[in-house]
Amino acid sequence: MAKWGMVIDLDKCTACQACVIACQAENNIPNSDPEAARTGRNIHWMEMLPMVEEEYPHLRMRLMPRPCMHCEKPPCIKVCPVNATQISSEGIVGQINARCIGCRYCTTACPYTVKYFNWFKPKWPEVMEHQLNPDVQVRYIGVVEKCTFCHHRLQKGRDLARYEGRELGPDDYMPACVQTCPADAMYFGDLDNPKSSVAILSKSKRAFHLLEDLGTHPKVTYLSEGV
Amino acid sequence: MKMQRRDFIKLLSSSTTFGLAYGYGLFSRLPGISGSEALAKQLEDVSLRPVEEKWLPSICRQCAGGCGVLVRVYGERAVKLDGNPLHPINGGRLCARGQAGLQLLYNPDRIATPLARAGNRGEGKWKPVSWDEALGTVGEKLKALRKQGRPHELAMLTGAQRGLERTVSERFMAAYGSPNLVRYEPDRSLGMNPALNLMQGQAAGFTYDIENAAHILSFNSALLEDHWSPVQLFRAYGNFRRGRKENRGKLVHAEPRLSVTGAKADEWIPIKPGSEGILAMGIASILIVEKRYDENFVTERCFGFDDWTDESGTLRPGFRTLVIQEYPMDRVVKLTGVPRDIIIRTAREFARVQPALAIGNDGPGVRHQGIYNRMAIHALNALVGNIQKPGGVLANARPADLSLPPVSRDRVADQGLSRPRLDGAGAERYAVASDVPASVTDNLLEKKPYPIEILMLNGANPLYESLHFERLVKALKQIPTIVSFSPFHDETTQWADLVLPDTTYLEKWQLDTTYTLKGHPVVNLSRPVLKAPFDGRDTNEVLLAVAASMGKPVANAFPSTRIEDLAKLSLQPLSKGGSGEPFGAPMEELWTRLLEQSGWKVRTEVDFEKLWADLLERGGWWDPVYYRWEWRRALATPSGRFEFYSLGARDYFAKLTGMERDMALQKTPRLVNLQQADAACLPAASRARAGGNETLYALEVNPYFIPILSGITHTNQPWLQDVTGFHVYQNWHTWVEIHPETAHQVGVHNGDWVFVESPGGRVKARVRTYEGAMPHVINLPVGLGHTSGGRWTAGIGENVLKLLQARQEPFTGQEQFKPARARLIKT
Amino acid sequence: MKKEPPITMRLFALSLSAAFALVCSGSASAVDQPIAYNHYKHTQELELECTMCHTGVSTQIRATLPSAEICISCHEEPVTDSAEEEKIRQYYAQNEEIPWKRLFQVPEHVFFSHRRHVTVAGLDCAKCHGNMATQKKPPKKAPMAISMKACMSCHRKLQAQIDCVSCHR
Repeated sequence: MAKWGMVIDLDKCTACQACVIACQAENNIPNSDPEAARTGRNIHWMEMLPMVEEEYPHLRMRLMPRPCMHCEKPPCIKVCPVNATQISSEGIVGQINARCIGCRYCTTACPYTVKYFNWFKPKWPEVMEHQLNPDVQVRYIGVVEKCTFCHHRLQKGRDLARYEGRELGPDDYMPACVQTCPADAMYFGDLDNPKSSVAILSKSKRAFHLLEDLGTHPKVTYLSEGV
Repeated sequence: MKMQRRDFIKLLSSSTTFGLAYGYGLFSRLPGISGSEALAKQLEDVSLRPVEEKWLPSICRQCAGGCGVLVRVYGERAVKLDGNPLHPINGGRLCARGQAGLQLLYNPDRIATPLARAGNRGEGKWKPVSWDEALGTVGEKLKALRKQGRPHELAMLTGAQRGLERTVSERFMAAYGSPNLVRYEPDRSLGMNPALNLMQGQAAGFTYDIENAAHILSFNSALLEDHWSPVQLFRAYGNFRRGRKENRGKLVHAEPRLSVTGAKADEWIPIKPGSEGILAMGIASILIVEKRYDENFVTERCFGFDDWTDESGTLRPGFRTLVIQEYPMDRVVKLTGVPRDIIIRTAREFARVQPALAIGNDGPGVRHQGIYNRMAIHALNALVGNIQKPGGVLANARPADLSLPPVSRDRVADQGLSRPRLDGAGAERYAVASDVPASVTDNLLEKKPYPIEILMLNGANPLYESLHFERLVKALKQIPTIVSFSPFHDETTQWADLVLPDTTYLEKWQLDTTYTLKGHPVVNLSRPVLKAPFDGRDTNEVLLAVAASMGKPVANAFPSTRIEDLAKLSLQPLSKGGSGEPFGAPMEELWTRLLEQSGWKVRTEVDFEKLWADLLERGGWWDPVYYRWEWRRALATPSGRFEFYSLGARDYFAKLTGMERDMALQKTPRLVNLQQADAACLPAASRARAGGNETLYALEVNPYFIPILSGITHTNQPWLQDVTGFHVYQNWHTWVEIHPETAHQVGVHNGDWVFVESPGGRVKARVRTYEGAMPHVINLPVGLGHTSGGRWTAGIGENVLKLLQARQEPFTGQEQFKPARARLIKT
Repeated sequence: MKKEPPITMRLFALSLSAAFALVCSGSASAVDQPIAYNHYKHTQELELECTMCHTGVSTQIRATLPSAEICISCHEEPVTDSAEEEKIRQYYAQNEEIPWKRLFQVPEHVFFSHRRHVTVAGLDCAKCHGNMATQKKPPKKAPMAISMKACMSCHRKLQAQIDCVSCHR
């Protein structure tokens, strides 16, 4: 069974936010507005996090694209009273919107703040509804949503591979953010396959995880900047 | 039932969710929990026809980068954009702006039909008119003006046009008889080119081979934020960092604020605003004094490094003299604020690690570097001999040979074209400039050299760009007829009499010419991908129709009335053989290149229809072979060498007479020891003094362009607006970045609302304390503060350009920010 | 505009929705079709494939119901003297679609793909649609209920994906 994971090379990343917008476009994420932004109620499954260290003029700012970490031990699923958020057999942490009661325990439990509550009814000006992705549900007010590693793409890829009577290849499944990354800084694949680029890279000397000490075992690995 | 793989892929992507396939009213009908009413309605819905899905190639035009896109078309709607994997510029990738393209296509604030002004000018009252009526009105006005023998009184302001778009505008204006086709794009897309033209001669543009460089010294280049072709820059950057097994590229960046480029750099050197050129000269002095420059290249390929004698026998100072006499280390340290040891270390490293590139600001946005500072920065590349080398500065190869038969003109047109231009380009002080947008406001206002009767706005929005808002409004009021082709109600369109809304890029035929970052010419071709969601029309087609309606001789401007035919005709020469080919898979490309470079492959004539179909399917054509050793192309200067002392500049000043010459020289930097005439031809870096009383206005203003909005004309896109200032957690309003200690000194706190006031004006902004700001320098983002143009842009933030003043550059006449001072006033 | 139910209400509705999710198919009330279509005659006597009229079955997410155009391709001239058949031509002549009503339905948040089940997995239509093909008159309700329980048992048996995200997202 595959174990899907991502590697983000911060040395290549240019913080251009193509991944951020690609995610919004792929996953029918509602438009933000000044009010939503002011109250922190805008939704970004993928977000660029700035982390400032030290002081002027020897300052470092680390800019990190942050999707859901798809933890092997996700704190969010432990607190869900209705089993609306679960980890799949392939390690993808999903959110079943129809089952979610909107208690927001998981948004609090997630140390990476990747779970987003729909405070508003998602709506678009009529003409903009044209661009909604038919493969992805539009969520509704009062439920939590999150990054799915573009799971619908996995299903499509798997259909194709199966139809052609072959194994799922590394190019068959790639989330929208990885596909668009201009600097080629994002890698995606099966961590259980020792030959996959993610398996190799996640053992790099530069590899680290966000908040590793919490014991969440994230499946998103970062590669640090520098030599 | 037997299915082919290709069919299956096609159908694989055609899928649908429940809900969406029902139509677009999905959101009023919630699933299960929302109640039985919605359920009942749902059950009545029936889908009758399979939905067809395709991926169609097109060209992204959110900025001038020239990326190829594939549009996922689902039934009748476009649902996703991704990169075209065959495209040599973006290789299947897209940036944030490219990804947001559908928010331009399906923007609810697009102008839906032609509009005629109903109220007073600028009042924003409109009545819809039919296309026939609108085209009739324009045609008649143009005909009448031409009949009176005044065709030159038509002016068209455009954006950064290229390719067929440019051809159509040029031919229309030429056949009509007006010289006034002005690119109104202040300093945009020119970047380093004017400076490089002075030192390396006029070429088809220059490029930096970032991918193969080992070391990059960036002088406030905004490399990762504000590049003219961001995706290929990012791709190159990824390879620069990690593309080679060993030898990871190193980036050193000098800028007043810690920008994205600064954050990503291995070393950030905070530097006083506008002093980057002086830092470059400081580095040059170390290279020269310590003899760390490439002596071979400097002797073989350069002119004006040492002092030289002109034809009259006078000794002229060379670059070495300039550096030694004018930029002693103490002065450099004082003016730049960069410590001596850092300058020395940076210089030594720059000389040691090769190939090393020195890059100044090359983006479409920031305009405060100035031509002489850019020359100073570029001089470093010649000092280390990094010209026409892998990892160096490359002159673009010759563009593809696309041409249409010349326009046949009548006497009226010839007379009109012989008149001087509205912006003064091509004459006297601006003899070497093709467009001088900065002169437009004054000349319109003073009716110089003659009044303008009809103004057409074709992709330009001068009222937002201009630093002289009020004067420009006054000038616009004097023009009897203004026609706008904008698809949005932008600022200038508010002053129009007639709006003929353009379509956006996915809805029209496109033939675009551009370059890769390695100097290969690229021709993009695409057909309309889907039906326009609004009743707009491609401006190129509108110009064709207007020309046709005017009858001969104006109608002769175009060999056909269909834009598709024009594209076909322009591309005919490509089938004649020679070099170049349609885009192909990367492996194919590599193979072709090898064969061609070793002379094994010669291209022969191909069937045009086949080529045409190929181009449409793959997205375009390019020439993957680049000859590095064509020195005559790369160094097309009067001396045939790299000119530290620009003979081109000398010729230019020599041709000017009397007052014109004095006025032109006045704009060049002043030096302590060297004569003005020499300073005007050398990389005489300088730092302009900030205007304003230092006690009253204690802070320096450092404006910068918001990366995510860079290069975008229409910013009414909520995805992009939501991520503008992510590094300081601020969006949807203008913010001011200030160092925490400076904030404490002036008594403001993070999150406060303040007025930033300069002698020129004031804007409201939110204080964001930022460790990455230099003490006593405040950073303000440019790109917000539109007063119209849609719900996600009008009234969002403030236009920081209001704080700034500008001066005109010598040679190009481009507008350049003067440094400004400001103070904060609590609201 | 319908107002959203408050969270508390929705908590209450949870039990209902859970029940709903299990019995998520079919319509509660009886369905009357606009034309008394005879599945038996088409599929058994004439031996036509299901995909002949439900053109989306093998290539699309949704099977699709036949448009008037599809019907008229055989019924342009009367084949029988049935008044029901005449209706097709009436709809077609008036340029109207036949207002078929759906019998089988999964909720919006369930992503079911016919293509995946029929083309990729090679399942027979009857597996989910029961004896629909042999119905002589349009049934008032689905001949076989589609429930999550049925989906799951089949998925388990065939060792297909049973992760929640595979169908719900």
